[in-house]
Formats: sequence, structure tokens, C-alpha cells
Amino acid sequence: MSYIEFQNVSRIYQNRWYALQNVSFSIGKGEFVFIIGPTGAGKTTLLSHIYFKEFPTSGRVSVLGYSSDTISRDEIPFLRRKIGVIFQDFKLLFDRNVLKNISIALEVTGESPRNARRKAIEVLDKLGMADKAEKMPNELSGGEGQKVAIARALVREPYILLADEPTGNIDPESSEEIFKILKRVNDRGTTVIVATHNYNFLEKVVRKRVISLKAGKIESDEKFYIK
Amino acid sequence: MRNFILNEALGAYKSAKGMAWVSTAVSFTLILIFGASLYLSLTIFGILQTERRNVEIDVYLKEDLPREMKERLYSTIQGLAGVKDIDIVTKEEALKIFKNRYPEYSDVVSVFQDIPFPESFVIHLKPTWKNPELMEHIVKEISVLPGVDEVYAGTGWIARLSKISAFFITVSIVLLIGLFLAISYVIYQTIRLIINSRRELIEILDLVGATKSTIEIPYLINGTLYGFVGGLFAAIVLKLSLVLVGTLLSYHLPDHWFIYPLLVLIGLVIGLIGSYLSFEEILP
Repeated sequence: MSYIEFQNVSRIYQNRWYALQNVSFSIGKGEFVFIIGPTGAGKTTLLSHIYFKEFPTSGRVSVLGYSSDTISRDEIPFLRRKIGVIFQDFKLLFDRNVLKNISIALEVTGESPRNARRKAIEVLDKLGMADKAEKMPNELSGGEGQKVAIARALVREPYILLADEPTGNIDPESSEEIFKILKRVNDRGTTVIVATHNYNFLEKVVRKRVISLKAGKIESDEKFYIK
Repeated sequence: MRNFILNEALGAYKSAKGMAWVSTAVSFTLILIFGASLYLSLTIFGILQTERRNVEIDVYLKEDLPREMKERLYSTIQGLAGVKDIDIVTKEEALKIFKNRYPEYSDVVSVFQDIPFPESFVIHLKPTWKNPELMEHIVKEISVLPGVDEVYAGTGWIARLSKISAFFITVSIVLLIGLFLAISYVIYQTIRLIINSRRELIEILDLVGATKSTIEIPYLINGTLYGFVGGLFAAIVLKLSLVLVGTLLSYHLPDHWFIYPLLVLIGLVIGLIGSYLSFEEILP
């Protein structure tokens, strides 16, 4: 079953610059996909199309049954509730503690504060961060900050987890830990898509797919199932 | 969700810092000025209405007018458009009225051999005819009738009062438009400032699937609060000022009770519109 489908997708900025050019692929349930390529290759733009932050100039993107051709503004939040996104800069809220940073993802969609808090603690516990629940983001290390961001993305139990350069701002040891978490998430059936230019981590995932982008075009799309 | 929205609305209030006070103070001042102007307009309008209700035209008849002529004059006036009914005031009744009204001068009239007051008709008008222009028209018609000595309607001061009332109503309308623009602009700028300081939060809420209304409502509540608090304080200060003025003048000032909830409502609506416009412009 295809969760994500790009059909001849092009994204042009300022009428002349192609961020994506005629990109086509489909990603199914439970896949672990690396989107690789140098800076400016179009990795972030591609991810942005998956959670409909951006729309193609031409072509069509379909995600979990929603199509870029037909999705309305009002439907986008409902799609986003099924997708978790993490970023290089974590995007944490510095005016509230770790627990609030995570539970906010549930509270804004109608979950009671009590349930949101319980689920946030559960996720933090799974990531070995339960003792940091009351800490403020500025009291965390880079690796811990990214774990909180992952916890926020996972607390809604998403179908798809998107990670845009998730290890870009953290030390190698923490990066390794982050990848272990992403693998564990993928093992439970969540589709994980990681955009990175850190190729060292590719070999750490056994069953994977690697889509290589260059200047907005797909250069290669390979699947690896055997080490 | 309710908790989230209320917490964020409160958080937004804190983010605004000094601007929150500026917005509230501007709303308060302008709504208070409007409230005072509206109060004056309504009070003058009320006086005008009361006076109009009591308005009548006095038609003084010439001396020694034959009975048939009086009856003909009575019928002619009764037939004029706008005339509701007519009271006949005889010389004796006129004297009685004078003595009742000016008891200190009652001795003065006794020096006359005859009663010095003329016979008159007091004309009561239909309600829709009780305005200076129409009354002037009736006065002109009556003045030329045979047997009429003089006609008095007192339309001059009613016309002046009408002009004053119209002036205050115009001022109130201009103030309402002015205050609408000024308050909504200040609240619009405040909410703009808040949204800019909380862009990261909004971005995250958008990312985790919050609907536009969930993101928007805290800011709408916030903007509405500035207008509401401004309107509420304006209503309280206006009421207290009127009580104080009434006490100082030892006079019971008329109380237009609906002004107070109206001021609060105006503040609330302008606050809501200002914050809505701001949100729609920055985050459409």
C-alpha cells in the first residue's frame, strides 16, 4: 500500500529556479527511506510537499489518501495529525517545559490535558527521557532536545515520521542514539523518511531505501534489504 | 482544548507587555469620550422629546370678536392638517392661569377695570406635526385668518434645541467611526506584535495539526479583551462621573442605562475586529 506518491512533481521558485524537477516515486507502509543529496538538492522542499507545507507547481503529491490537487486548507491539519516531523533545529518552545512541549501536540487537537500529559510521559519514558519531563528546553543537551522533538512527533502515533537533517546540530554519539530511535520507530511499522547529507548513517540501517537528489532531480532510487 | 486556548490567550497578553496597557488605555479613553458624547446627545434628545410632547400653539383673538366669527375661526382651525384638538381659553380662564403662574403679580392685574388678557385658542397638534418646520407652516396659515390677533408657537427655541441635538448626534457618529478606526488600529498593531513574537509557537501548532481556529482563537480573545476591558472601565468611569456630577449639582441627571452595556459591547466588537484583521493579514 502506497502512503506517499509523487507524480511528475516540479516546484519552481520565482518562475525560473527548479527546487524539484519532474520527481516521481512512491513510498509504502513501513519503509525506511533516506533522501540524500548535497545542500540545495531539494531534500527539504521534498519533505515540505509531504506535509503540504508546500504545493507542487506541476504534478501531483498524494499522501495518506489526500491529494495536492484536491486537499482543502481545512483538511491539512487533519493530514498533519498523521505525520510527525522533526527538524535540525528541534523547534522546541522555550517558554514551557519538556512535558508541555510534547503534550501541546495532543492538546491542540482536542485531547484532555490529563490524557495528553499521560501520553507525553509514556513517550518520554520510551525514549529514556522521563526524568527530564520538568526540565526547560534550555537545560537540555542537543541530543536531548532532538529526543524531545521526536517525542512530540511520536506522541500522536503517526503513520509517517519525517526527519529533516535530524542529526545536523548534535554530537556523533547523540546522533547514533537518534538513529537507533528512528529505527525502533520504523520497526513498529511507522514509515520513516530521513533527509540527510550525513551518509555515515546510511550503513546503520539494514533494510532501507535511498533516494538521491541532485539539483531537484532524482539521481537514483535504490532499495537495500541485505547488509 | 479549552485549557489550551485560555492559557495561550493569557500567554499572548503577557507577550504584549506594555502594548497591552496601551491598547487597553486607548480603548478606555476613546470609548469614554464616545460614551460622554452619546450621553449628552441622548439627554438633549430626551429634553427635546419631552418639550415636543408639550408643544402647543397659542392663538390670541382680537378684542370683541363676534361669537359667529369665533365659531367660524374655531372650525377653520380645527379643519387644518396637523391639528388634533383645540381648547378655548376665555379671558377669565386666562386671568386664572396668570394668577396661578405668577401669584406675586396677581395684584397688578386687579388695577385694570377689564381683564387685560385676550381670549385665545390653545391648539394641540398631532404627534407627527410637532416639529419646527411643520409648526411654522401651521402658524403662517393661522396668522392670516380673520379675527386672529397674534399666534405664538415657541418654535424658535425648539429649532435651536433640535440643532444642538443634531450636532451632538453627528459628533457621536463621527466619534464612533473615529474610535472604531483608532481602537481597531491600535489593537491590530498589538496583536501583530504578539503574533510576531510567537511565530515559532504558531509554526509548531500548524505543524502538529492544529486547525486555523485553534491557532487563531487565543489572539482573538486577546484582542477582544483589550476592547472589552477598555469598554468596561469606560462604562464604570462614565457612570461614576455622572453620579458625582449629579451629587455636586444636587440634580437628578437622567440615566440612560443602556449606554453602559453598549460601551462594553462596542469595545468588545472593535477588539474582535482589530485582532481578526491582524491575524488575517499576518497569517491568512
